[in-house]
Amino acid sequence: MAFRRRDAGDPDLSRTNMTNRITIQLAVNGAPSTLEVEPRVTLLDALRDYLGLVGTKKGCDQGQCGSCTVHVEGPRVLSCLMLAAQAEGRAVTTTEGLGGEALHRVQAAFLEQDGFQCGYCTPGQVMSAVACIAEGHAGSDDEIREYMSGNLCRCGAYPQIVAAVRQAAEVGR
Amino acid sequence: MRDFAYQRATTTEGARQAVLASGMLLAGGTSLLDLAKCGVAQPASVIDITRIPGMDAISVDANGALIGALATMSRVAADAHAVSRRDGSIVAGSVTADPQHGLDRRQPDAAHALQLFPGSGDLACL
Repeated sequence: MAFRRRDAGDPDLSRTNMTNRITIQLAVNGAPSTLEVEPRVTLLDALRDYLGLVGTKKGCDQGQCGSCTVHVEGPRVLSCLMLAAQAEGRAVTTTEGLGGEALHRVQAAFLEQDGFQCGYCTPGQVMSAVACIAEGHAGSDDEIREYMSGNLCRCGAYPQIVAAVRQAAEVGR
Repeated sequence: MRDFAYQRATTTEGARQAVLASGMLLAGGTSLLDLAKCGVAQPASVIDITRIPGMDAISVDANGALIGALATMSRVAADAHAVSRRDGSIVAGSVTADPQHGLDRRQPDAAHALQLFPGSGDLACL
């Protein structure tokens, strides 16, 4: 199924060269999609603007805040610094793809530990936390802080975030 | 970000030819894409080299450590014990000194180590 930009009427987009488009195949949360995009479209914009998966947040858009963290073939990546074309043929997981009917244990732990305030950074925090635990880097609070340090929280909910990651790691053991 | 053409190289020779024809290499994306977003870099063509096989290898022998140009910081950090036999302190230091240490460490690390430690010229950058 092909998707088109939801915001195609945006006047800023009318200046783009509509002829320079490529067709890519993405597999996001297990669902295959065919997208027609300009080569400069990042994975983050493809997820949000083409596929409607707005759980992944755009914060700084320069790879410094971690809000846009997703998994590509397992490891966590910053989707604002990856072209959609680079993800072609690779399994992409977003926060929408973590849980099934129930919340993922990391998502549940964030709720239980109150690991957020405004919530904007939370999807990125959760995706990083899932990877942090999978990598085996949640052995102590210091290690969690170190391996979650690429995800910023302007509300300062760090103590609760660490507690949530620790709880989720313990549940998984 | 200005529009550009996208090419995916699958061999080093293919990448070399594409660069000679006026393109810019895209590896981790941590430098090129953010610079392109603010207009500092304006590539007409971007050559994605991340799928060239064999360039992300990390090996250690008696003579030192070789870190492939596409070895990411996260892999080097994970394999820090392997490189610690020689330049581990420098390599591990470069990884953990990075403010993005805990997250996306897609920047090819050999170059990163040399950036942070200009004196570490004995580190081979493939």
